[in-house]
Amino acid sequence: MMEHKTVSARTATWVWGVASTATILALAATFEQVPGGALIARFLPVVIIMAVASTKAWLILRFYLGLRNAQGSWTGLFAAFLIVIVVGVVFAQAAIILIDQ
Amino acid sequence: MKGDKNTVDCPVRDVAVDIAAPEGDEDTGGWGGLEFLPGHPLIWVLILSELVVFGAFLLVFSAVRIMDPAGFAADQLHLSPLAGGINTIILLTSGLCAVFAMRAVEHGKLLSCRVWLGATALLGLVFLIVKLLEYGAKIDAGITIDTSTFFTLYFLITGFHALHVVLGLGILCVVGIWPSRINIETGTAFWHMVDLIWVLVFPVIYLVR
Repeated sequence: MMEHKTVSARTATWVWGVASTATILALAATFEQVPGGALIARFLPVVIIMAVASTKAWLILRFYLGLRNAQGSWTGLFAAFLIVIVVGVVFAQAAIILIDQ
Repeated sequence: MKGDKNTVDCPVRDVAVDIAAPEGDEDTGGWGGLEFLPGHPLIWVLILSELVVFGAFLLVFSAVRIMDPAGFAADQLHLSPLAGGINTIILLTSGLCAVFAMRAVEHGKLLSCRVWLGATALLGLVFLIVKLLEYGAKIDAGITIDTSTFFTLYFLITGFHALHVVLGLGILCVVGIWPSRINIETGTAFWHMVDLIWVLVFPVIYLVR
């Protein structure tokens, strides 16, 4: 097994700060969602919420789980996982809006 | 005759290779790059499979929502995004403590490592208490797993995640008792996975409307 260098305390705290702030931002975006409002007003908050979630997930993967030491193929696999989730959720929202129109 | 000679030779050569393999070297190859990641490579096999399971749950949740968006929106009003948000920050903070535990063991500070692991576990416990309070409020309001498709998926996904938190607490206790570097890396990797999954579950179930 290889020896791994853990992320510095400063970077880890920075990641925590960004992720926590992003959580508050996502909560704020939730209250901006307007049921039955304009198309963009119903779609944009979901895109923001999922973009924030995937950014937080990527920060955890890279700095806390140590994916920055991984080979490109493994990084790509985890990135693909996140993309599938985000695209799936955003696509579902788009479908709901289109059916509703 | 030549063929017969070959069939006799091959097993002999295989045995020779097995004997020649250096002792304790069985873990050095065949992990396909997982050996570059922290913790035992097998924890990454578990992490990948858990991510696939939860990813499928979230995609199913989104797909079912297309069929009944009004019902999902109405049921979602019973959830508290604030409680979910607080739980997210609790898990993120516990993840930070887990990183500090890893740093401590890296510097050979076992006591400090155990303190940070204790803080991680304590925050995990707070997460579970908040979750139980949420479940209690739902049950008091007459909402159960059978109430609607939304709540079936809500209890299933968040309950399965809560089970992983309980399992994570157990793992943190075990690695706290035997705090070797590989144990701490493996235990905290599991904990970060629990954190990562919640970061994706929270917006999909609580926030997207």
